Amino acid sequence: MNKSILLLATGLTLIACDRSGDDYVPAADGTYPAVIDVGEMAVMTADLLQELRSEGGNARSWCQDNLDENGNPYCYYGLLGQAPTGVKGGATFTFRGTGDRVCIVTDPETVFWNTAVASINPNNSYSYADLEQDDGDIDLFAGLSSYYTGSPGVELGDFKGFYTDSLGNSVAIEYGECFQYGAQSGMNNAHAGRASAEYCTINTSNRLDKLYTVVLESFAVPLDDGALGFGAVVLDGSCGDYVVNECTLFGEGLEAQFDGNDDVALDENGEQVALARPCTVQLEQASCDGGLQSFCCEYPALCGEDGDQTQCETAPALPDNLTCPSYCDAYADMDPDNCASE
Amino acid sequence: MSIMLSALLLAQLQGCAFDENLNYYDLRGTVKIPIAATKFVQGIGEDAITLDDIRALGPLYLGVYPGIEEGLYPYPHPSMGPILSEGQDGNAYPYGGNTVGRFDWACYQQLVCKVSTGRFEDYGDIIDFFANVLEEPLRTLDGELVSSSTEYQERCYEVEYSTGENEMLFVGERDFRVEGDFLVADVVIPHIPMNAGMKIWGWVDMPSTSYEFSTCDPTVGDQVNYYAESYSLGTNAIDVLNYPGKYIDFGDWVVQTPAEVTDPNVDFELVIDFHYVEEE
Repeated sequence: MNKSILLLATGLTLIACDRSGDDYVPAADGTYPAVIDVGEMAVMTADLLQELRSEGGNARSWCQDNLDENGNPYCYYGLLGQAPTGVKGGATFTFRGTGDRVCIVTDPETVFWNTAVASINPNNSYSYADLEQDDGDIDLFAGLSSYYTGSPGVELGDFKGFYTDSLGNSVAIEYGECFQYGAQSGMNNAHAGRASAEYCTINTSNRLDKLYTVVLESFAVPLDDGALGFGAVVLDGSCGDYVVNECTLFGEGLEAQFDGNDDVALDENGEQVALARPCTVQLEQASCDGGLQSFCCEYPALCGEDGDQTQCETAPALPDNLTCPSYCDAYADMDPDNCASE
Repeated sequence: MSIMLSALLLAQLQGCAFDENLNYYDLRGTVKIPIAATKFVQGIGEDAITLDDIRALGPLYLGVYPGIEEGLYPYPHPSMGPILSEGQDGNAYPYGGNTVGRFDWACYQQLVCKVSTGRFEDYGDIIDFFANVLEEPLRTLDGELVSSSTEYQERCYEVEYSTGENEMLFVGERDFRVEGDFLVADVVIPHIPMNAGMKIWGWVDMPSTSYEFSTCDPTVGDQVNYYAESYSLGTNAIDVLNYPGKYIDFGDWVVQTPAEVTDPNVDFELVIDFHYVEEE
């Protein structure tokens, strides 16, 4: 009897080993490029940023249509795929020093929050669950291009160099200049978590027109489509001059368009054709306005599948600016109950 | 059975003799400061007076560097790596270091960044120094004069939630002993990677004319929150050995001839003999 139990337990233990965690990483099937180079971007003024933000879900096409006198875009929206095992995926672009401070901002799709679960005084803004499968994560690095070790569009690098002291010892030096400060004291090289915007100020004084490289390393690619949408800008001035959050760049929750061969469609410039997923701009705005609960109750297909619907009976009404008329056109199959009557 | 046990014990003991062949050593030696270093100036202009007291010595910083150079500063200074930020020197990339004495909060806000360990023998010593040497008697936050060692001790036990004198690191045996014309302290610089030819160098942070120490920042460090009291306890900057030139100021004593390490098992002797003073 004991021997049988022991054998059974051993068998069960061995089955437990048959788990790779692959389910948590999208397949690196090459549908989307894992490493891209955007080229040179222009530094954007605060006024232009306002113009971009007012475009909402059309931000990507605004960035493609608005170029500076040298033909460089002021912003970039794109899609990244999962890199093969052992390869760092991500995007790079360059910009030129203005002789003053600049603020680099990137925002990966879409919106992430931890579900508030407290039974007493819960934070209702976050009490509806997030749809984690549509969230990606990008880590931001930047520095002078002369220190960059990668090959743009081929292989991601870093800004690490080496100094050899007079006794022949090699010391690693970080030449990157993009430092983000964490919540805790001493965290001076931090990175934001899933779907959150990352940003840093770089002082380009005495480096007018010198080329800087920005690296957007794809830390996590969304599981739902294996494509990481993101937006990126370089703003004139310090990040302290701006409010940088989920709503600084709208419309980074991109959805690629496919051609008849089930390949990602390309435009005349060879860029992937992609549009902001319906209602994601409103989702971002809801996040900034503290209206996630109302939004998710109204549009559950954009939030977590296991969202607690009972709270929706007491949730505040959805403000007009967060309504998404195209919801049922896009998500009727995912939310037949709410869309059936339409 | 007993043979097996003995063999096991022997095998375990052999494990203690395992040499990991790490190239790290604890460097041991002595540092010497001229007795004249105990003189310091307080006040400016016509009000300036020269005081003389060993208790005013700030921490003595010791670093182990690949090289020491002349010409970078008015005093010998460690070689520096590349300049990475505008307005900041290159990092000296020390192999390690230690101090003789460190800043310690001595229970009153008035003493933040003003008391080093290994300088005061007891509470009365501190009361005496501030009252009779600096002529700035120790006072509580309410302005009450602190005049008795017992009162001082009680305050420390209370505010530090202390249970024993061994927790009061700012009082006790002094670090330096007098040997001829020098103050001498024994020192260990732990866990240094051996690089033949590396140099031991350092300096003593002496008080400014307003009795402040350039290596101590009163706005950082631990925080005291005790009834109406809420302030930082101060501590030294974390990069003192990386950027010594940022912190060495007039009045400080600096090593002119660094000690070269060729054999890490041989004790070093370092003399801190250069007085960095403003040229008249």
